[in-house]
Amino acid sequence: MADLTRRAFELADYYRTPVMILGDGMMGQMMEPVVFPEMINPDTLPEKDWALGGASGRPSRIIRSLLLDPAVEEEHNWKLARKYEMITRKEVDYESYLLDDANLVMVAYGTAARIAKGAINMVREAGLKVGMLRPRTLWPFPSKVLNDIGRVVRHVLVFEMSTGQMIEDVRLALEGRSNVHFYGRPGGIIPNPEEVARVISSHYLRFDIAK
Amino acid sequence: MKQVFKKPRLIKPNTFHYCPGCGHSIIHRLIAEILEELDLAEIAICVPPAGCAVLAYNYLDIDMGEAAHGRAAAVATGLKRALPDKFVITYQGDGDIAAIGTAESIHAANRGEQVSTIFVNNAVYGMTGGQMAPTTLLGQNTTTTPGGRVASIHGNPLDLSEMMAIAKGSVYIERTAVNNAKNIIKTKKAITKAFKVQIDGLGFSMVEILSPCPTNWKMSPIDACKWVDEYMTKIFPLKVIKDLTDTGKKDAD
Repeated sequence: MADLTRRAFELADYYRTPVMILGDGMMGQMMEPVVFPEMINPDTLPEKDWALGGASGRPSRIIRSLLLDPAVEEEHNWKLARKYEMITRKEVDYESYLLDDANLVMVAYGTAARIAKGAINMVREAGLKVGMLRPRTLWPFPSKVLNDIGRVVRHVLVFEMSTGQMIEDVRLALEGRSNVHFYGRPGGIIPNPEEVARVISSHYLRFDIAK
Repeated sequence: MKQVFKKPRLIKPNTFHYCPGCGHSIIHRLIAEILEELDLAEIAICVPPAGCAVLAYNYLDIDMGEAAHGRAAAVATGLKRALPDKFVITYQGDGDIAAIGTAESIHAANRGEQVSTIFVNNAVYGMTGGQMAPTTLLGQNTTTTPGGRVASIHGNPLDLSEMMAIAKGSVYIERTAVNNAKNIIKTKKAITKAFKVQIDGLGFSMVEILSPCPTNWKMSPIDACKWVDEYMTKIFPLKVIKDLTDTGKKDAD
């Protein structure tokens, strides 16, 4: 959270775009040691030839989103589209965990990903080859890497501390390449790794994944 | 030959889009004149509202930055705190400051933010076609109160300036009008004083200006100017609502 919050400000400054941080509720109810990242040198940030500060020795500036000329508005929207395209290309961020030999891949984010990691470590000891993809950015979504996983892995298990907010993104990214399963709990009781390990094991049995 | 009248340097050579008889163009001119007279043009930053006057940046030749509807006081707070040597004003309508933006406006005043607010009250939502605003008078016909505003259904006209005066960080609040020459001169004095409050670092200052909207009031410009006197000032009396400039102190000090 500390790392990503710093990163969010840097990205917002670099692209001049809003960045939204989705922190889950657990963050407010837990304590862990934190090492803050190094401060960056503000001189390395892009020059702001748009910033307001009084029209002294230069023409006055306007910051606005209202463009009443339809042609100007459309050109501006194309400019934004090019920016979003660049962000989609350059800013996808994810963690892969034990993917190399996996025949079941979990997709989880936030606290659920931490729990999933514990569960994966347990079932690995029992010989189940399970890995995980943890999207750090929900937009841009790591669709390409997930699609590539779909070429070699037949079963993907989405695990969320919700009733399924990411499952559609996962299905879209996989384009039907893998079977998508879901396990989620809607907030209230925090699932533990043992419980998720049992869910993984039952999927192995039910879908005969080990074969 | 002595020049006795000219276009202020800070008014861009664009044709005003405002309706005939609208008060905005008068108020723009006053702001341009005062910024020039107080030598603030090169450090001034203005946050315009959502509404007809968002296009103030087509007319005022100073740095301007749009805020989301009602959030001018919050944006101005950020500008002034990041750039304390600059001169920051907000320009807001009654729909902007007295409805969607009430929370951030009250709190900016309460914190004593060193910004000056121009609050243009025309008793309706002008740009969107004359719907009822919090400031609409009882009995006043609008597109959303076709039988006239009724207190038991629509609530009473909101005394935003009086609310802002209760906030401890506000230093100077006056209500004026631009419906005749005498009131325009008084308005200019009031805005000048509000701007000086910021220059002297005393705290938050605001001038509420009753401004005719003949189009949405469905009146001639002359009748609209009369309506300000006959009806609006009865509910929103022209007066200094709060003035702590003599003490040089905020309530909070």
